[in-house]
Amino acid sequence: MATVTATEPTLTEHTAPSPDPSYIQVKNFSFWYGSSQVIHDQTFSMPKQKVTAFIGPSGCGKSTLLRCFNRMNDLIDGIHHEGDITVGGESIFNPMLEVISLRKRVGMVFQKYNPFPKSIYENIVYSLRVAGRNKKSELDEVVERSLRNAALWDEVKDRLQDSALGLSGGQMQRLCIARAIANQPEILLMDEPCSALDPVATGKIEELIHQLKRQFTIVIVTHNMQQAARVSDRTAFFYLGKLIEYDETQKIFMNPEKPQTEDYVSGRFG
Amino acid sequence: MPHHHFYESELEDIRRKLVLMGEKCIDLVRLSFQALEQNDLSIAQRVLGMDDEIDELELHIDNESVRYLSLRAPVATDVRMLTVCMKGCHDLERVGDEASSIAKRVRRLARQGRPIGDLAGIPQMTEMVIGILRKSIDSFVNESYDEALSLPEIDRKVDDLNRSNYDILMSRSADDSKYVPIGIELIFISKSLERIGDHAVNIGEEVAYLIKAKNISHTDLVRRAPTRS
Amino acid sequence: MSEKKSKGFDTKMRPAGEMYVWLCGMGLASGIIMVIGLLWIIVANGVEVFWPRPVYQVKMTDGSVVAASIVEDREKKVAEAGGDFKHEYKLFTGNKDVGPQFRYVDHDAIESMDVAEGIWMADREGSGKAIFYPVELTLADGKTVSAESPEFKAELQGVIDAAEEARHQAEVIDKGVIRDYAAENKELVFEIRLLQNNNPDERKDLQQMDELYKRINMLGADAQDQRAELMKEYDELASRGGPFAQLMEIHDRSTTLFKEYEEYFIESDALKASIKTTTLRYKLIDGTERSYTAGEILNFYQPNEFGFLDKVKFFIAHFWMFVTDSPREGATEGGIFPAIIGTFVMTVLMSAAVMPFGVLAAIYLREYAAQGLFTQAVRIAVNNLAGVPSIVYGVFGLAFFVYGMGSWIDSGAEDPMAVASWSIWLIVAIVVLVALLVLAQEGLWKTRTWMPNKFRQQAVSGLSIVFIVLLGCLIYYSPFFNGFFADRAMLNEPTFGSGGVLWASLTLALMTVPVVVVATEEALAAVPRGVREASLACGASKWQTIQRIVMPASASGILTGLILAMARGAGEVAPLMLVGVINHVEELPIDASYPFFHFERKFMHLGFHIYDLGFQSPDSEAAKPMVFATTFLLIVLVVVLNLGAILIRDHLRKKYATGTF
Repeated sequence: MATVTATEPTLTEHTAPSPDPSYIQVKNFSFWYGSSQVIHDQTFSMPKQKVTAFIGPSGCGKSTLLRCFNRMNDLIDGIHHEGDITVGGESIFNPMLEVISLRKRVGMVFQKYNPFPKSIYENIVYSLRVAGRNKKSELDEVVERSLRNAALWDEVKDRLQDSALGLSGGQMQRLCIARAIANQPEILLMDEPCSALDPVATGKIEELIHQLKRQFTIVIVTHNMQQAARVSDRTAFFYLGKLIEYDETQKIFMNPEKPQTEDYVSGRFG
Repeated sequence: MPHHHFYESELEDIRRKLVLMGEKCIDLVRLSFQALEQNDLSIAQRVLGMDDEIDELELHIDNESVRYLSLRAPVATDVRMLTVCMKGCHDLERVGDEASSIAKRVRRLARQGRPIGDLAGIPQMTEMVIGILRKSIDSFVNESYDEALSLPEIDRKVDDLNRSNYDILMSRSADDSKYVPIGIELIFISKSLERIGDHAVNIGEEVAYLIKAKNISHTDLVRRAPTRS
Repeated sequence: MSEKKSKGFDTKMRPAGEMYVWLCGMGLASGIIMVIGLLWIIVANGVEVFWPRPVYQVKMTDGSVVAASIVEDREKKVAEAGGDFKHEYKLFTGNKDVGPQFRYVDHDAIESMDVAEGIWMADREGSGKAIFYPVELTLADGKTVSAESPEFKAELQGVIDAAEEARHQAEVIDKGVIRDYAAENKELVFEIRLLQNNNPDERKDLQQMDELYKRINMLGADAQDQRAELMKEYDELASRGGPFAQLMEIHDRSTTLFKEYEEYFIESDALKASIKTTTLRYKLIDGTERSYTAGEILNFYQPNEFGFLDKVKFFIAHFWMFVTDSPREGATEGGIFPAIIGTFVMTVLMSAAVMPFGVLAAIYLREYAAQGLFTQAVRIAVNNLAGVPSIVYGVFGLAFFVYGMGSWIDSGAEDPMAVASWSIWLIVAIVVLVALLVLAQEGLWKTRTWMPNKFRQQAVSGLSIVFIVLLGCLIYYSPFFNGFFADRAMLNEPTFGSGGVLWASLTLALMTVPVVVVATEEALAAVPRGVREASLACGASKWQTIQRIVMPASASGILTGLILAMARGAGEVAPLMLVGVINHVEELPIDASYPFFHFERKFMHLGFHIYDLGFQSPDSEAAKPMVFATTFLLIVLVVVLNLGAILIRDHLRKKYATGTF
């Protein structure tokens, strides 16, 4: 007779507690391009070492908000904001804060993979080189660690000096992730990181995100609802610059409070 | 070499839960028969307690399956696996219910204070039902189409036994009017065992669906023996 | 509803606009035909110069005989013959010392034309080509060698070689030791002229005294009486003391100097004389005999005896000579080496000047300047500079570089400021600089200050311009700077204050700046936004992004701009005529004498050489083939320079390809 032992439920880490539930805080934040307001008075906070997904239709301000976290919007003329965003309690809009030091703490991965036209090695160490760190042994170590973290080491370890442009799309995007984490940021922003990739590469990146959240706080913007559902712990739904609903991913996808959210996640929008 | 998603363990977990549920059901059937055979109320009580565990498992499998369906957007085998788990857990839950109903009847028989006497074809039937249940679980674990398709054949034998039990117990009741309460309980017990066999066949059909993606219920493959009127 | 009926495919449908493909093709074809035609004319005519032509014995109907090669056979309209066409030959008869080199002869006027067996051609120093039959060679020791004797050719070659050697040795002395003497003597001459300038009252007498000195020196050893007479006069002037005594002292030094170098003069003269000790007697085809100094013959050959291989050898030798020799006889003979070097040096200097200037300007314009109305206006203005006639740049270069900067380097400002007011302006400049640095620092370290960002930027830009202007004026009007070559300039011997290869390069650089700016801007704009953002997101500053990512990625585009600029600059002539190009130079802008680069020197230029040969030559018929040959070489030079740039560009393109975007 087979003896049956009750196995512990192998629940995924979505139940593991965050060390800091309000690590990134958005406080009454509004944002304007010129005179058009793209973000309307949003207030919410994101937990540390968790994946937060931003979903919403195009033009809902989710990418703009993401690009506020490392102040990438500074490049654009005629922007202004109200309210504040804090990381670990510190405002990122502190006038005495040099934006470069913010970007060292907040890495970013873009929609279209954008490796530099340099070797794989130089791509990874770029953030160290611009910070004036050129010690060979340190760079070698960072390259290996970053590539391993990005699950790319085994594929490229024999051709580190080859051009990064010779990699496949998925590899290039993972290289970009390796580059973004080379300088050990605390937060990793991902702006639709898989939208230019095939499903296999997408799967690998999602797996990677799942691995990386042990070390980094990840904020990901995505148009792919399934992706948000798969990789994130919390999901924020934006519409027309407003935060409609923000909750546990499970809640958003199984039983959202707001009918708008339900319509969007079920693809019945508009 | 196929790539595995990080969340595939969740599906595996649901699958394992279903197998666990099946094993628990087999235990339950066995125990309920033991209670009958030994006229042991404590075993019957245990059966009723274990049925609650099964109900809990059904709830868990149901919830996790819905969660998986909502969050992981499964397709193909994965989605069939989830429907099989959801339907299968329902069948197993019914098996648990039938087993506890046997236990309840054992309790009622014990309250009569009269020896039950010969159990007619029930012991043999129990062995067959446990066998068919095990086979259905095995077919699920091994994803064996042939095994799944062999279930209706056994079920027909179970049905035949049930009918002969009915005949035997009815004639005994006709002979001895005091035997009637015992006979009725035993007929119901036999009926419960027959129902368990049907659920096992259902699971087999679901396993066949899982493997071939084709619903074979109500086809010649699983057609039960024509019911005698 | 009835089902929609399928109409099937419309097989008559044709893509719209297919004929425009033909139109484009035709446009390209006509362009190619014209360019190929032009190149063909240049290459065919240019290369033909070095290919030996057969020499004919042409008997005229009037009985005269000439030896000539046919340059051209052409038609002409003759009025007397009622507008009929007549054929005439253009013949090259050489022997410039006897008659014209070229003759036009109607076909009718020719009785017979046969290949002149065994006729000789020779290049001579000073008289161009000779066409003749040799008769006799008289050697230095009086020995004669008849043309019939088998050693004749060897002997003649020996004479030519010896003469060549002597010429070379004389040149070594002339360009070496004697140039040193000339340089030192020039200093003395300057001193004399300075003395005369500084003593305006006695100038006339001083000049007379100097004149006397020169006349005494020129007297031969036999004119003792005259010498004594002149010496008396000289001493009389010298005894006046003051500047006269000084002049005498300078004269003494001059004499000593000459004594020091006298032997070299003698040696050089002896070498030159040795060339003239041999004589070649030869016979023209009509039988007249002539003599020529054999040492002045540069080479000889018998074109009618050439096999194909000989012709190729001849071609290569002459082409090589053309490339490596200096021009002779009004540029109708010899080579164009100085022009090649001049063009090369000028183009390289121009590239070196235009690259940083244009690229930095473009970077600021594209990457840093706020893209507003003003930036757009600046951009349009820069682009329009490309449309300014090049001669205007020449005039500007002459005024600004030559007369402005050049004169300032030579002798400082014409009207320097008083020390007091200069000091005040210096303080103003320092104040401006400090204000500028403070504001710029604020911008570097803080994102928000008491001053709005935009105003601060404008203030920094404005103050920068003010500071640059102030600095320029302060340097220019400095009372402490009197120029590096003030003495020479005063005596009308400007160093930088007259045209030179440096000023020519800078003028052309200014002219080609729009090309580089436009190309660089386009190249910068083509760098995808993605990589810039990636760099910034990695914590790089804007400058680091430009330096490490944008510049390498746009390097190939920038070099394309440089290639275009080089092509335009190397072929430009008009502005150069104002800022330093001349038709004959003794000294190259790069040579072995310290400091090796002499960018203040005037130079020869292939483009100007073409113009000079074609339109300014005393013998334009003789110069015509050289025009083509020079044009051919100019094109080759531009192609070589461009190929170099293209190779670098392709290398960069491969290295920094941003192909995935």
